[in-house]
Amino acid sequence: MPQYKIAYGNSIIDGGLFLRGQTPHSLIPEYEDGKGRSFKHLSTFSGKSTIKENLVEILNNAKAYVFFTSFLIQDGQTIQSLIEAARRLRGHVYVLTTLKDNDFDAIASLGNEIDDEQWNFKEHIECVQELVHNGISVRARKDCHAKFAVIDDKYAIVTSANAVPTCFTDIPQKNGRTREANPENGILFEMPSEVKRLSNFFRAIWRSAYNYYLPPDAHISEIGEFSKEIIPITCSEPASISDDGQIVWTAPGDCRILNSIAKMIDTAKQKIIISSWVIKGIEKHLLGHKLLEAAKRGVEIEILLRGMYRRDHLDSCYFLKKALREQINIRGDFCNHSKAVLIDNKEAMILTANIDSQHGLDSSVEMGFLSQQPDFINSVANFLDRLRAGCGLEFIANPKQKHAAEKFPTLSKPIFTGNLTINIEQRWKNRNQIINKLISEMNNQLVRISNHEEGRNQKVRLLTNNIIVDCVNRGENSLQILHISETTNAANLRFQQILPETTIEINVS
Amino acid sequence: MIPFEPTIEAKEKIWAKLSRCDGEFVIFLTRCHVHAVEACVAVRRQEHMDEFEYFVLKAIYILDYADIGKINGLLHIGRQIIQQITAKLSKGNLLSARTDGSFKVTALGKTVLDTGEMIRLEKKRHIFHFIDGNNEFVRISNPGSKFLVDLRPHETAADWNFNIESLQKCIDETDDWKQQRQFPTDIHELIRSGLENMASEESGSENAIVIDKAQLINCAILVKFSNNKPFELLAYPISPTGHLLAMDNLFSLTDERAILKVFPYINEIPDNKQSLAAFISLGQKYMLSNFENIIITSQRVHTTIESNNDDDINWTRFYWQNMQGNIFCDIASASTIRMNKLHVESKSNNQRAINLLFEIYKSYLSENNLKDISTYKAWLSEKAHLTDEPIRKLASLAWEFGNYRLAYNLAELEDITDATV
Repeated sequence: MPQYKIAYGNSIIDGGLFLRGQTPHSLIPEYEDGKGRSFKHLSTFSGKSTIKENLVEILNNAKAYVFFTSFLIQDGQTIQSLIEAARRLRGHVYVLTTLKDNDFDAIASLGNEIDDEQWNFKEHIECVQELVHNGISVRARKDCHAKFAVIDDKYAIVTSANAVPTCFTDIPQKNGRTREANPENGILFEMPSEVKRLSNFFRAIWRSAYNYYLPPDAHISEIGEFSKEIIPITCSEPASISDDGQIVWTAPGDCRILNSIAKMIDTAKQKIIISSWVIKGIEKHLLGHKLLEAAKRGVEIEILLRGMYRRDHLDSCYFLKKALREQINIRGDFCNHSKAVLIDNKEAMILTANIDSQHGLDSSVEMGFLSQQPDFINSVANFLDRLRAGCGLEFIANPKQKHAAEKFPTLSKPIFTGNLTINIEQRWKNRNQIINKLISEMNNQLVRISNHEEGRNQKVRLLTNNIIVDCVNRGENSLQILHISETTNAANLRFQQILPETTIEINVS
Repeated sequence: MIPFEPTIEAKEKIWAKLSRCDGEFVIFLTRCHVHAVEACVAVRRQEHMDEFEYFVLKAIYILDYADIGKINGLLHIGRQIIQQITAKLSKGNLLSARTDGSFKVTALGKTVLDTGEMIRLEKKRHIFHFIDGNNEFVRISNPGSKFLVDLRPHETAADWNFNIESLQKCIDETDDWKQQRQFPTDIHELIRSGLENMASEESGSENAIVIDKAQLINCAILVKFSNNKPFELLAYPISPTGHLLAMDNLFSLTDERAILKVFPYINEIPDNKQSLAAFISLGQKYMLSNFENIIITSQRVHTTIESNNDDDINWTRFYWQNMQGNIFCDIASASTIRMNKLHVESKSNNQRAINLLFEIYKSYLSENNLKDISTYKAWLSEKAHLTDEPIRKLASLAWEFGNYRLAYNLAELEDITDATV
């Protein structure tokens, strides 16, 4: 006879998560990037990247010099185009990227981003070395997450995409599946004042606002340190702004992106659409406050995100969903990395920053392009429509445990079907305390499962937001507890599926 | 034995340091096997002569042959004192004693009478260095004994041998020869078996043993030429990897005959194939690979490179200037590396730009002062003899030559100057 019995599945969980919606892939419309007299909207979706096509094209057509900024560089064709440009121009190719692994980890705060994007710092550095060995000069700024390129002071690209394969193309996986390319966005423009604004910003960093440098050399690649400090970026800018749009940025003490987005939201009357890889720390941030105010005015809000299970991301979504209820729709997909803001189909911004209170809005170096030009607005709206069509997930606040399990997107077969038995050894002195904690968690939290082989044993890990329960699988839905730990880290640990509705029996033996 | 493998960087440094001399020269990197011959020699020592001794010697000289009685008859200083003095003079080889008890002044005694100074012979063990193979004497200055390395028996050639007659020949040479070769001029004779003639108290056959110690010395040899003939050779100590260890020379030779006798390979001129191989290896270091049109010819003191292709010549000239001109050829037969001056025959249109680029590289970049266009222009106006060339052209040339850092230092002057707003 079991000592304890729990009916798991009907409790409403505190918080929310991304669950399957109803949008099938067959409904995804044909998509083509928009363009205007002085710009082309760029994108990456599964199967096609106009960002990469145009980037490669402008690199191949560079006649004087290339300023290229990307947080990471791992894409072979981009590297080859940079090298060919350097050969053709006999140098004159300047690359700003990341050179230190701790900067990589810090900006990619990001945690999951490194894994999800299949980023590899070692491979990145090898690519950077290939650049310097082929006569390209490389520098790094600790806090630079921006991605842009300026060619001959004539053309410029600002994009959400890093120069890595996942941002440009579908990638076959070892398990036979294909990881679809990230949805990414960007703009190629030739507005003289804004191209110069951007190129002078780059020059200011290159001259005296960088931290590390890797001089071009056929044989040696040794990283030198120019400064330990985060240096302000001061550059000369055109006094007037182009009628077609404006470059804005985040730099130390210069939060133009945030200020512009705040102003845009203030003017919103009908609908705000935001796309970002992540939304983080919004609860106590100016932007969260502005969104709540807009909603009070009756503005509808839609946020398109990557539907990740990570605590800070889900907390910000939950905060907005709880506060705005039906006034906000938060949708998700599996790979989104684009960043855009669209207000009432009247003003739009494409940017490199995520909606992240720690990086991008208040600090770091990020770039954006802001415009009220109708062709640009239509292009961004069109892109967001296409992005939305691929968002098969929806953020649901306070779902029941069983609904979360049913709708959670997973490709793995259910690990447990039927009742689940959990055995705990008699000899554990604090077993009653452990059992009480276990019961409390299972009654109020979502139980997530990960399993893996370890030697002959199949290990199963049960996770809630507060505890980690490591077990060995005895077969026939029976688990033997090996270890229980109480930790807040549990909220961000990876898992494969959510425990479906079941009866859990806890035995002490 | 530590292998002798000078690195290309070490060779370039040696070249940079030793090639500052004027005129024509060739530098060799080699390792010499040396006989460090320790032998017993009689060395002449001068002392002031006592007045009584002088008078006794002079009296015997005047009398030609004289016994004690005759000398005392002339000097009246007492037979006992004269006996003591003649014994001392005989011991100093100034008098020879005859069986009838009379004395005669020796040649050495006559010299002493002429100079008024007493010359005494002293037995001493002395080390002389001879280069193996030709057994030529060289005076090696080896402070602290740090540059010569002792060889173990198995490290020497099978026919390792030193003929003591080579030393005897040096001792028998004229004073002029000795001064020119820095051979000690005070050595009276080589002592081969005791010191019979010196009546030394220390005489003994063990002192006459000759020790031939095998030693090795790694050196950079600078040979200066005049009219295609070597007239001075200076040897400097280097490490097995080719790093110059001191700027004071280890030994020197100053006549053509000796130079060619000691280092006969100086006359060996690398053939064109060897020179081309050396040039290709030099080019590879700088990632250069266009050798199709190169014509290369080595002469005694320089190697000439010609090409009808401007591009080939452009970068060759740049690197020739960059490295102050040198090309390294192995002379396998003598385990020696020959470093020749590189002479480039250029018909390039870019000559002015290359000259300016080299000046920038040499003086301006070394001060790390290539900051902006205005400082660059100021530097250029200081160097009034240099012609202005487009910066972009200079940067492109530097990039083509594989000197990417210089290329970007120049390119940034324009590329990183703010666009007009």
